[in-house]
Amino acid sequence: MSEVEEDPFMLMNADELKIYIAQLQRESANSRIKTSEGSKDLMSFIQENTANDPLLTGIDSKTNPFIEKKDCIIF
Amino acid sequence: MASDKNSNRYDTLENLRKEAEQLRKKLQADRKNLNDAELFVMGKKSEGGSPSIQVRCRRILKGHTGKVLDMDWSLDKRRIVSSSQDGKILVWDGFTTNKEQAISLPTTWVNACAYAPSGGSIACGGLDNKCSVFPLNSSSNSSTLSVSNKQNPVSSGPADTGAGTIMQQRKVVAMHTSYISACTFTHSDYQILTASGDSTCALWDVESGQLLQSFHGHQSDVMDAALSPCETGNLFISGGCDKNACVWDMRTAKCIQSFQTHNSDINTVKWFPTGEAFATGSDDGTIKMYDLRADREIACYERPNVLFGVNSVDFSASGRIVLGGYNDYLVHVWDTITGEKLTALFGHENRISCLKMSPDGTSFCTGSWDTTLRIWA
Repeated sequence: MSEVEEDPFMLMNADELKIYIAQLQRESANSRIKTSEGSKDLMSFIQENTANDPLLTGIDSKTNPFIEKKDCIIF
Repeated sequence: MASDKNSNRYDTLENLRKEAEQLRKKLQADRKNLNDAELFVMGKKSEGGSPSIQVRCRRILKGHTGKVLDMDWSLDKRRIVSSSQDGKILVWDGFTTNKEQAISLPTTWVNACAYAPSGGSIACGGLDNKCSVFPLNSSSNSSTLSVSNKQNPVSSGPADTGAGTIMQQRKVVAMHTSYISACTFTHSDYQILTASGDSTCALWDVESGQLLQSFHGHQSDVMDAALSPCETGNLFISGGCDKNACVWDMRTAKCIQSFQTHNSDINTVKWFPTGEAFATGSDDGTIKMYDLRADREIACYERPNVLFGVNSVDFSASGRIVLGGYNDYLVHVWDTITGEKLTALFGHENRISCLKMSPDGTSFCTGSWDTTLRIWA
């Protein structure tokens, strides 16, 4: 059974609509940059920090305290 | 005359709706105008192959008798606080798996817990609609640990503080009108940010319990909130059952940006390390990433065979990896810039409710409805 898509605006009263309109006006006024620029900066950060990312640089028992150094166990 | 008044009122309402619809369409168009590239396309063109991860479960923390609902790392990178449906808060030494302290709350479903930056106290809250702060035993925040912990039974830790004393030290900081879903200290021990089922977030002064700021805007339960990682940041993000992800300015209490692109409840929100983007996880089975400056969703991590809701997400230290804890008991690991699913981690025997990287990025911890926590590295 398909759900009827309620238009949220139909459920709001006048006061609620005024608040929502004010919010939309505020958000419209925000300045934006191009997606490519934002993504480029994201990727730059990642590239600069990959060498310091323990999850990526692999297992190193000397520096990662959760990885036990291999000891010989004699029963 | 009465009918004229009624028709005037109707016209105004109709006009308001039209205005709202126009503004919403304009906002969508403005956001679309600057969408000149896809992150995944850019990512696939970049040099270097897929990141390789070799992560295994290194520790299993057993002790809770009910579902683990939340956990947090101490800044000392080894201690962990966890909270459970059984009403208990446990403080663990992640290296040794020893339980250092246990606090029994007079409520079940402790949905949220957080470690204070100093390591000297923890905050928690849940179905009691309150967020309380408890001081920790001095042994839990000093570098010397109790040497012998041989008697460390599963049911209760040796440092189980008596019901009388610990409850006397309890400080109720926040009071909402519905359950607490998330709590976090700000950059100091003195302020706490809470998210609640009453659809608001709030900022509280710990010392006085005073409400400093209240954040209204969500249309339904708020499920998570996260403070900007920037030292000077005044922003936080929230996500809720109204499918909205919101960016808030703490000083003005205004919602600066909001995004509604998920198809179901948002359960978790987490900042990208730079504080210029953030990820959300939803019951719709996807993780999405939003770029604040581009003002739009820039990535969606999904697969046709990954159907279960995501309860918690986090990024690795460089942000190259995004990890999600899902209702299918798995941690799914994604390449942030290409959208490729790198692997899935098995281990838990029930839903994963929480997932968090350690402060130095060497490991991450997951908590599950199977009553255990696991540390992966």
